[in-house]
Amino acid sequence: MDTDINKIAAGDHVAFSRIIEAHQGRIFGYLGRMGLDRATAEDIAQETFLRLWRSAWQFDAKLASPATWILTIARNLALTHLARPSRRVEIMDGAEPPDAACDRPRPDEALQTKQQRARLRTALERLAPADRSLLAASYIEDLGLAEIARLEGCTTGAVKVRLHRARARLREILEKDND
Amino acid sequence: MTDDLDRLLAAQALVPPQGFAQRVTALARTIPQGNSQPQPLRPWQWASLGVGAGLGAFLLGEFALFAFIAGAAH
Repeated sequence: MDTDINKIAAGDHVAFSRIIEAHQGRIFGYLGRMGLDRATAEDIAQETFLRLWRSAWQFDAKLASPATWILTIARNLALTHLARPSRRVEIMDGAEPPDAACDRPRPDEALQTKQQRARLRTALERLAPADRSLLAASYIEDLGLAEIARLEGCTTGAVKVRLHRARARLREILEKDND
Repeated sequence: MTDDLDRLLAAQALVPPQGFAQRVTALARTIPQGNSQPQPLRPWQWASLGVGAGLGAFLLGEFALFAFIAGAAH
């Protein structure tokens, strides 16, 4: 994977496409769990990979793995977006790509899922952006506490404490909404 | 509720749209890459630098010699 980054630095589009294919799922998953809508997530994911393209020569394998580096770019862009005071109204459409006909949920199930997503998104918006990022990162497969700590710029101990608090706060918000 | 939270957050994940990688790769083709890493000098560049430096030193020496001779003549 490091070699692919080196190839990207040398202008190799095939290696670039390969890196996108390998990391796009993780980036979209992370951005979605941060409570971003599809259009915003797509903008941020696109900019993440284009930044990677422009600055691949800056990658230092001694400092982070390619996965953590790419995730750090996405995180910084997402936090910048969330810090912007006049960001566009996030559309609560829950628009997902069409599923195969046989997997398509019944209309009542689809509505319920849509409502749950909207409810969670509203709850996530009430958390601090850094906590949203931390929560989202904690659901990424193969991302250990040490990598999350590197991503968030804190110690693993602090990650555990912040994660516990963020989950408790999110649960509290959701329970209040239920009442 | 914890399970509920996990389930909700798991369902919140988005999936990349079809053709995302191809679209971004096509966009990248139009974007120049930044690269401020200093490139090592090639042999002919070293040779040219050497010739320039040698010529400069020769001209400076010549000037100093003429200035010395002219000074001594007076």
